[in-house]
Amino acid sequence: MLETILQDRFAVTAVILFGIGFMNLMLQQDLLKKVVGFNIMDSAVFLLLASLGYIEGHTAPIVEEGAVNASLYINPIPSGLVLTGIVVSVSITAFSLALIQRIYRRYGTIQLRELLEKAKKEED
Amino acid sequence: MRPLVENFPFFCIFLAIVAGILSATLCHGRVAYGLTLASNAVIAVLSAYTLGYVCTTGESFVYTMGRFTAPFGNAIRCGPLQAMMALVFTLVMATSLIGGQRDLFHDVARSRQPFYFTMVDLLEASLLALVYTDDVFTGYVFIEISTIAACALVMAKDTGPNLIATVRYLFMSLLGSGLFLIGLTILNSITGYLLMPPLAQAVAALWESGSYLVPLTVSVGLIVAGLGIKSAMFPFHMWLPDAHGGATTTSSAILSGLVLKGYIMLMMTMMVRVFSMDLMEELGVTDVMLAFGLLGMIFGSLGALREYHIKRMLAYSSVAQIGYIFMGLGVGSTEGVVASCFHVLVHACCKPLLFLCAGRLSAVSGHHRSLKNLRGSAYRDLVAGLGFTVGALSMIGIPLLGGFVSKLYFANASLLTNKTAVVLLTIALSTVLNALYYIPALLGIWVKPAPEETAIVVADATAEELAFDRSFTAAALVLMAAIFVLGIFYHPITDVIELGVRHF
Amino acid sequence: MSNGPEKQDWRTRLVSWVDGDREPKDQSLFVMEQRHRRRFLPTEEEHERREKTRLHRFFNWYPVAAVFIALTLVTVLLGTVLQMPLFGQESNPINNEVAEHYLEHGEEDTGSSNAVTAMILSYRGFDTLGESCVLFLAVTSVMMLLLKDGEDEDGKLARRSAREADQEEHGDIILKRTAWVLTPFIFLFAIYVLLNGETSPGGGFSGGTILGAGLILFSSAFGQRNVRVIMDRKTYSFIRTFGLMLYALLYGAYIFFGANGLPNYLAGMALLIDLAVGLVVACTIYGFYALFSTGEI
Repeated sequence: MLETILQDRFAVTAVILFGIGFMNLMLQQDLLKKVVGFNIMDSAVFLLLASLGYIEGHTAPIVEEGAVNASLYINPIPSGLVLTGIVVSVSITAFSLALIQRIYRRYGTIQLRELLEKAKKEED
Repeated sequence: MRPLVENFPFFCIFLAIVAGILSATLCHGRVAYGLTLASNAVIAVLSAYTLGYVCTTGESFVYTMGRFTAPFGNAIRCGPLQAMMALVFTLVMATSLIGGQRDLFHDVARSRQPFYFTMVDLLEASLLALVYTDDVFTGYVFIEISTIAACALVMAKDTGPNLIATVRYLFMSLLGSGLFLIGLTILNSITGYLLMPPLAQAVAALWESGSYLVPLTVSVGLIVAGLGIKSAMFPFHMWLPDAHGGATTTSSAILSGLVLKGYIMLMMTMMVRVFSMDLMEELGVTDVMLAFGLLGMIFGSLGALREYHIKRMLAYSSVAQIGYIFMGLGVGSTEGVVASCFHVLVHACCKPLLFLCAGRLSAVSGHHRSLKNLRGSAYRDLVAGLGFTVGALSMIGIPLLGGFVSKLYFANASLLTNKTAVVLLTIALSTVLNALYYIPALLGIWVKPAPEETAIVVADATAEELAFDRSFTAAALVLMAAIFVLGIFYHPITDVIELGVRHF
Repeated sequence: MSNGPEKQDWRTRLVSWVDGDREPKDQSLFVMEQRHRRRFLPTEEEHERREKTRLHRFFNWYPVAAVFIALTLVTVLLGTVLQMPLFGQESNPINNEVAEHYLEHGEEDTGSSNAVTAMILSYRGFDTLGESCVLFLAVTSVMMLLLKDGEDEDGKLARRSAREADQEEHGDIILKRTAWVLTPFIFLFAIYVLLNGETSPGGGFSGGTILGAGLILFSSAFGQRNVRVIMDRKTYSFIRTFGLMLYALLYGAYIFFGANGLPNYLAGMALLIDLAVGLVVACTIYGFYALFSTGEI
């Protein structure tokens, strides 16, 4: 058991991070902290994804001349997926931060609870 | 060299992307609007051709996105079902744009209008990609595109409550796509593939050999839960009424009618093509979906009963209708999937019609949206009143209208399983509940109030808003006709769906 | 004539039923006429109050449910990852023939010895196109939210930006000097990374980010007005759409040729695609900075 945990240390760390991020996203009333939580969650997924492609003793997947042998390099697929994932996460973070900035300008607060009460009042 | 028509699904996606990029460079909303409609028209024509082609060959085809075939490069796959969904989605999108046009240009600030159409175009691209995709990771990327675009559609009408609704919608969506991504990661780690055909083989082999059962189960659960959150499956529907109820008419119509369906189509593809229905049944996922679907049907309707704000009422009704679709998937048979697909079509026509008519009715009542202020509004715009009536009756399930046929198919699908009683009872209960909130709303808009009351309400409306709205009338008539077609001449359509489900 | 009041009565009853009136219906006509017209105000207040209590109840139960869901999820995931293939083993299912093909045939297939670049630009390029669209959409939506255009301008914002412009004048001397020295090198490095994505770590995304970071440094040291000398709003939006458009068109042609089995006319296009991606990313990064700091580009 302990050996598996140690061997899978990256995956276990990723899951713990995922939990922290998930809790933050769900529980925090502060919108900014929710975004931080979301980022932690995404990083956890990327950590898990990146750790999948690693093979002990192998090097980065840049094929050198005369060494075209797949058993020398790590798996390039997860790295590529992580790259895509990071870009998506950056975009979404920017979008939500812009939204929060806008909400703050209008209501002067970013506490979700207060915001919901204010919005209820504003509706017809 | 493959036949040219096999390029059309890719052309559709590509065209939508290019139209979206071009829209962002334009200065005038009207020009961007024209561009979007034009691209939609072309996409509809191309999709119709594709549909004709796949119906005559009776087979699906795989189109590699690039030079590299199956396990190496991206691919899309198009069969009768996919082509039909693409066609209907495009047409409904165009009709929603046309029908909500006046509200749209009124609600969205002038400088933001071109951006709005960028969002619409890219949303279209993402819907098409979600329908056509044969690669799970492409699915993830386009889910994110549709998340951003859908949120932007909600916040385009720039009011405070809308911003808050958007932020809630965004966080729920992020949760959903986070779960989907981690499910995908786990699935990838135990199979090593991302394209659906080899993935399906690998999953079947794993199931045969019994290795990695826990990760497989968990990844299935996470993927279904992630897509479920995004498509407002019952316990995760909290974000929907605010987001769909507050947005401008076109946005509400598109979001309720189409965006939810995009995720559902991806989920169906995953279930049928990758995991196979048998596996889903053995893992118990279908039972959970059935339970959530049934609960959603009831609780969505109960939520709608409490509402007096017409658009929020419609939004809650969407939750109930999504429940129907999940119920069909949860039955776990091919018939259930067919019924769900048919309901996707019916709801994709009905809900935009209802939203457009509700938007129009509130426009002729000075943009009041609570039911008491809409009293008698049907007489101020007869087509809107009629459209609302047709849509509502179809939702309740009156014969000759689309909703009736889909309920029939759901009931039929349940007969072959051991869940017949609970499904039939819930359909009956949900029908009664639907009637309980739609009929008062119908009476409300058709009963004439005292003249002085009308005068107060109409005083808030400008002459421009009261004037005859040609584009809305055209759109509403088209959607009404579609509902009648779905309710009367449904056989050819269900034949195509059955063919499509066989060659998913 | 005698029908009149009765009809009226039928209507009022119907109307009040539609409004959700719970009054017993068996009251005599006389009483009905005596009754005041139904007032809507109290019901609305009532509704509001009910909504509020609902909200409170929701917030009371929400944390409990959330903690429960999160803990369950973490437990399930922990159980899962312990059952997953072990870390770093070559025999894991993920290291299958696909990865092998990317590594061994990547160079002859795509002309790039960096397998990750080969994968994201050629093998799975459609994902990358989608990803660039996400970036494009993100900037567009941030523009929708934050761009100042005079229409929904409130005085506070205008004052704020005026104050900021004032601050820009008295920029920090250390920052200015450092930026003066560093910016050219950052740009040079960015271009190097951008152009060498095929043979070394890098490519459009990393190069574009470095380019964007260089622009941000320049802009924060010398003020956005100086950036606008080389890149005003029109140029910015032109570059932004041009980059993505170039990429989309090139890649569209690539997919079309590839899928139809036509000869690969675009063999050397990886460099051009890298450049296009780099432009999109650089514009995105700088656009975020500019929009968030002043709301202008």
